[in-house]
Amino acid sequence: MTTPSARVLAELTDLLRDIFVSPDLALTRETCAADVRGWDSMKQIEINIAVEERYGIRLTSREVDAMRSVGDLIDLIERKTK
Amino acid sequence: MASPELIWLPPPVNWRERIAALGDFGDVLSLARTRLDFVQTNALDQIVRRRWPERPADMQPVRLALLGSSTLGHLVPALRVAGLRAGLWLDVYEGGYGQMLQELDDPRSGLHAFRPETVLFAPDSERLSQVAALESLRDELMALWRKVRAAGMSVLQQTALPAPPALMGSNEHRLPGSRAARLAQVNHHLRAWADTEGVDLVALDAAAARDGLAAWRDPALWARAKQEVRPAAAPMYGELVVRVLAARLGRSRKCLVLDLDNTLWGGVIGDDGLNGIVLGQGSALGEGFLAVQAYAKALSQRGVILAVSSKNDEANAWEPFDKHPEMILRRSDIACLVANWDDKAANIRLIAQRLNIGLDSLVFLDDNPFERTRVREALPMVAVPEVPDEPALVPDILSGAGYFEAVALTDEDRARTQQYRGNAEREALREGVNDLGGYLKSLQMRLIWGRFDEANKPRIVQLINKTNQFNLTTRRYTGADYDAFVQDPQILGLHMRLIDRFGDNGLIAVVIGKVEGEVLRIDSWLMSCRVLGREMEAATLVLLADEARKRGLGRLIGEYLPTAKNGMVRDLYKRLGFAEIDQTRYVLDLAQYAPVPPPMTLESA
Repeated sequence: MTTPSARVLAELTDLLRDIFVSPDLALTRETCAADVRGWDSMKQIEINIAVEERYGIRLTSREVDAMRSVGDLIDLIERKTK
Repeated sequence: MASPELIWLPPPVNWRERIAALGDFGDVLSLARTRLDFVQTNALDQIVRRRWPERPADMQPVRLALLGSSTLGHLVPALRVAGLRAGLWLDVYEGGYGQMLQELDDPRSGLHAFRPETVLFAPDSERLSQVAALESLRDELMALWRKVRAAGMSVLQQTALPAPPALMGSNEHRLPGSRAARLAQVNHHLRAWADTEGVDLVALDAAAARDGLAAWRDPALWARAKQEVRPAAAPMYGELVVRVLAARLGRSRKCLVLDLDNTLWGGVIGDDGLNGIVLGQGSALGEGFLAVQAYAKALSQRGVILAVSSKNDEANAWEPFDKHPEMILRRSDIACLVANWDDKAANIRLIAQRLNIGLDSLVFLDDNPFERTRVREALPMVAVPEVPDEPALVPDILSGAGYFEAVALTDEDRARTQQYRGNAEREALREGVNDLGGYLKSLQMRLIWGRFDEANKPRIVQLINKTNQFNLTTRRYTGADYDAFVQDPQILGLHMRLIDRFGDNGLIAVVIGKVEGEVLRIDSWLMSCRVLGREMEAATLVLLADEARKRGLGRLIGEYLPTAKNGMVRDLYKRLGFAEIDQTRYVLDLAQYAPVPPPMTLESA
């Protein structure tokens, strides 16, 4: 059975594959911006908006600034969609 | 925070499979014509730039520079993808952040090296609200616009997003120095300033009024990255800009082809009869269909041609137009009606042929998803909007799609349905007359000509800048060029109207001759395609020869500069009896010229 975390990770992987136009991109909870080519501050904004639209949530500036890894983003999504 | 969506486009079904399997450029275009969000738009742009570094031959090149005072780079991919949708291949230059004036003033700047055709000024609302006085903003903008035009480029100016929060509320305008009130004033006055200077606007304020300001501008993103426009609004931003560019190039759609049953009224006229169809009568649905008709009628009054394609018997199809008391659209509003049981794609081809316009000028509105899909597949160049189940929403879809974007309005635009209706009637008459000469005589044509003057300036400049097919040299001239021509005694500028027994076709042809020694060189010769096959070319030459002789000139020299679109006039000069000088130039010795009289009278206006 898929855990909620694994489901969100799979969804984020699809989303980031689209954003980075990289069909083979693999993500783990530990992946961070430095691990992915082209993941700069502008791409981060795109990721935030895509996540906001996908999950119907709003990420605040504090939350965005505190985010360090894909795992942080997953936790944030799970908390805000509860 | 709902983002502005391209709701008139069908969803990108199987997006990931299709983007992975892009074969030829046609696949790219068909994907560009779907409802891509900003992520998909950026992805498509990235792939296109990687796989198609060179412009495909049938895309029209456009060089656009973006100058602003905030972050603009995130808008560039969406501009290019909107271009794909409009048949334009955009090269976009992003000016230095807040460097508008420096870029313009320094001849060695990146801007000048890029040599754009058009400069889009995209100031943010902070910047626009911070000026001390409206007059100083006006002077500043006009100075920028004039610099651009002095460098031979054209100007687009974006209006302000009405951004900052109000301090008083509904009566904000009473607070001196209020930024919210200032932006409302700026947007109001920008219209007048732009009209004075002949500058076209990109109305972000109108878009924000439609989609909600929050869909366009996010104060948190302004704080984070100085983005005036949210990345998620970029696809719509691209649309708004590209539509104006396309309209200036004569690439806007011209004709709305309407289905009848369940599109213009509820029910099926052939089954339900005149009294059974749902239209008006105080029912919500019936009022919704009236809204569709009222919008179509208003479009036709501003120059959009209306046609009908319906699976019906022709007599049934006309009946509501002639007899239903609630119909807003009447027979005289429809330039061409094709009602039969054949394939709609074939009928749409027939409509284009009868009206003598390109398939890429058509928009097809049909409630039936089967017909929409069929037409999209058979005729990808025809625009086919999604149609919501709620007829009252159809006007929003059509206007949101911006198919009929226009930058100026001329008398010809307003009279267009009548003219094209005449076209369809003439075509029907021709189908019944075998002898072409006899047919042309039966039209009782009158060519009314005049020299370039002030009254006809908007229409002539419009024709010069949008005529692509019957255009020998495709030289584009601005209003300022036109004024110079009027003043110059060595320039012979002629315009022509054609009137026949079906009506006035309007101002349809323009010639610019330049006197050079004993030669009249035909710098430009262009004609609206709606009067093709009427021997206007021969009549125009008679007129030109007369005018040249009156000035004591001995020869006419014509040029043909080939483009992707003007193949129809490749042999024009040869057909008219000119001798070839070289690949682009042809000469006619007036002493030897003895024309066959054309089938029309020539009258000076």
